[in-house]
Amino acid sequence: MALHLENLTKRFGKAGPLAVDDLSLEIEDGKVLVLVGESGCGKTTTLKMINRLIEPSSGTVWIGKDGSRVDTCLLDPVVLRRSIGFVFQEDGLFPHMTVAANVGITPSLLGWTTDRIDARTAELLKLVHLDPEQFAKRLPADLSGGQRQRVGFARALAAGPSVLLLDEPFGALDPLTRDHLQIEFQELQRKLGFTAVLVTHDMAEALLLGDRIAVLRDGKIIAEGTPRDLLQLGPSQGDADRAYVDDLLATPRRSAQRLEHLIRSGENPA
Amino acid sequence: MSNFSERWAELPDLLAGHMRLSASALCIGIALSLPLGVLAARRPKWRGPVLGVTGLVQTIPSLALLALMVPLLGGQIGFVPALLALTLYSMLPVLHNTVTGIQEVDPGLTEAARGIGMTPWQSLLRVELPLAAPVILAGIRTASVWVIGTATLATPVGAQSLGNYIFLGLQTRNGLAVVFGCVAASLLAVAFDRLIAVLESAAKERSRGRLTAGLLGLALITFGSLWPAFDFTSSLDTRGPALVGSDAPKVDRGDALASVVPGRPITVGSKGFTEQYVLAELLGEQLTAHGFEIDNRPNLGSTILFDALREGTVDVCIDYSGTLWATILKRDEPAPRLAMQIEVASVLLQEHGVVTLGSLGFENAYALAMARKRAEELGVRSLTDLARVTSQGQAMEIGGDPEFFGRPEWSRVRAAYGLEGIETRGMDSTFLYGAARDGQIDVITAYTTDGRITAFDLQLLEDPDEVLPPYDAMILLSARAAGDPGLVRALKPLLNAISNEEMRVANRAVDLDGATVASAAAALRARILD
Ligand SMILES: Nc1ncnc2c1ncn2[C@@H]1O[C@H](COP(=O)(O)OP(=O)(O)OP(=O)(O)O)[C@@H](O)[C@H]1O
Ligand SMILES: [Mg+2]
Repeated sequence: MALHLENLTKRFGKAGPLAVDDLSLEIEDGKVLVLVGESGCGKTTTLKMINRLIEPSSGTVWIGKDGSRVDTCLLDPVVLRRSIGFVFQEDGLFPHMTVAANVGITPSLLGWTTDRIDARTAELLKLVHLDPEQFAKRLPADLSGGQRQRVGFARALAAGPSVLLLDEPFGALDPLTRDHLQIEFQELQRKLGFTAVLVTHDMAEALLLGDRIAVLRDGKIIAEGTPRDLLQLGPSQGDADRAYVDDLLATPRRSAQRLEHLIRSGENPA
Repeated sequence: MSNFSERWAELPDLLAGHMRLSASALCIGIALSLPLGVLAARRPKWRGPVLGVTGLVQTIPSLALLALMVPLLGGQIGFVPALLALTLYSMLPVLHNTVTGIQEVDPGLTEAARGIGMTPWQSLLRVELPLAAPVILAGIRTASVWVIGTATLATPVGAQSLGNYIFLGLQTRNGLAVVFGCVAASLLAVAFDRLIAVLESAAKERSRGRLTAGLLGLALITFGSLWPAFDFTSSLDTRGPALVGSDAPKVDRGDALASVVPGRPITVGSKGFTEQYVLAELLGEQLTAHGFEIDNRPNLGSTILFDALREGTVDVCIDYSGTLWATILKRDEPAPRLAMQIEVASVLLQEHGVVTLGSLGFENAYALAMARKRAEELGVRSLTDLARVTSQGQAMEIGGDPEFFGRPEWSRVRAAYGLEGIETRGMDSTFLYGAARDGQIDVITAYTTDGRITAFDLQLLEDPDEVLPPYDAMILLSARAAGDPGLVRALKPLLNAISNEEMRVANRAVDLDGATVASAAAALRARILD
């Protein structure tokens, strides 16, 4: 499924500031788009407008394939959300349900038979590297943060969605677990071929995972392109937005250079 | 039969009545409050009114709420008005905790529920209610403790409950009965409290085992207590084995067949004081001896009893001419004894369809009484003397049942003798006589048939101007009962058969000598029917 966001605008309340300001984006079928930007720039709002958890003040979200597309505001929001997976900023698992019940919730809403749900749940847990024997009957409270986020992935993928929305899925994890999960996410995405919109405030993560990256600032896109496009932007020359993107890129660039030097010479450049 | 074994024998039926009332009220209350609570949690506009109205109900004293239900239901007494009042009473904690419980669910989780495609209804059933369950159960726990406690106050509206013990015990100075009622009711409340707490922790920790254990325990107590209610033979005879003894009267089946509505028991109503218990017992025995089935409804409030009689939910009762004159006829001028009886009987019949069978012969009037020693010290022999010492600056306090001070005859006595300076203090009539004897209070309102007047050496103050009205005890019948010739024939022998002294002896036996109501009534019956 391809997504097309067209002139999306969101204003909370009557006279509040614009959380998202006339934003337009194309996301091709089977690609990963990363929305990156600092806290409060409107990333979550944009993401939630895609599955209508938040209704846009104006603008349109189109969803479709091979040139035929529909305006999502014409679809039943419940049906739309069941066909789009969502991974929440804090795992969003239901604490009163077992891991298996959490993973199987969307299939059960869709009316699958119990046998089919059980088989699917086991398959998904294996897919996210959790042993069903060991984890299926546990409650979320009895899992580590990384395990919880894996369950969150499995739940989002349960009904085989063709679009996945992820809100800072790795934000609360330690670096090692985050690395693992990032790689696993990439593998899953290649294997299953879903279209993904991933939100992060970490530029390094954006560069690693995105087929395309959109940089958001105050609800507006100030730069958009492949990781290569962004890295090859010229010097800012007084353009404030360009300077901001440079700032965002500076940290991963610097650590990459340092690491490269370290690996080649074995010395830390002072 | 000893006091204890008599109380013990009553337990199954009273416990069953108590449980039937409390459990039904709780079930209906929960069934109403849960959806209302959900609605109020979802719609902020509804929250204020819904919580406001139930909160208001809660501020009505529970006894008043129970009593209010009777006129609201057109004079119906017994299970239904009590159920209604207790249901209303149970709603606030459940409602309040449902609203709180749902509002406290992490908004991130309700958003997640929407985000994965749940409809609002699915989100409620699968996420919000299960997460709010411990809080809601805590509300149900509070409600159940309240309801089980308050159900003891259902006795005055004619519903069977453990309160029967307490009301009877307080009025007849039967401490054991009071203790019986209190202990049974609090054990029941504690059991519910503990078991629902088990359900609460089961919901918190998602423990199937504990959930089953808690539910099983609740089911066990509920159905265990209700068992006698399913047992047809014992539920009809609310006095338990009192009738099964060797002296059980021979039943004359011929008369029973004369009953206009065969099969439905005759309901004997009575108010909540000793004389009424004894007389109700007397009426009951007399009717049972003539083959009628009896349903006893003791401890009814005065106006509740009359309303019930008018509606036919009570068939037979004893009331007093002066009481009816003031409360039903709303008359406040004095009238001679016989004229009052005739006037009362005709108004009751014409305006209320209640038939006056006749008077029992004695008069239980209000009189003012003082400890004899104190009266002699002050030189008080009549109400005129009382007014004199009061106006001379002697501080005097009069204790009486609150009903009396609200009656027109009290204002009349005050005005006629000039007793405006006297302080009044309302208290339960059980404690009045002892208080007067011990000098804790100067003057009391006494009933002329009370056994304690002679026993405590109290002096009745004369009423030279005859301001206090006559109070002839009269047998009143509902229209249905009056239409039953067998019933009228059965009660006829009681008319004009009881003197003031006979009544005082019977009252005294219960109040002072620790006799049970049943034995006092049996003795009275034996004396007058000789
Ligand atoms: N429900 C709401 N009501 C009012 N304002 C809101 C609401 N949700 C978000 N906002 C505002 O909209 C702006 C964008 O919020 P959003 O949650 O999209 O930011 P974000 O980029 O996801 O930030 P973060 O990285 O901290 O999650 C913020 O200024 C926020 O305060
Ligand atoms: Mg966010």
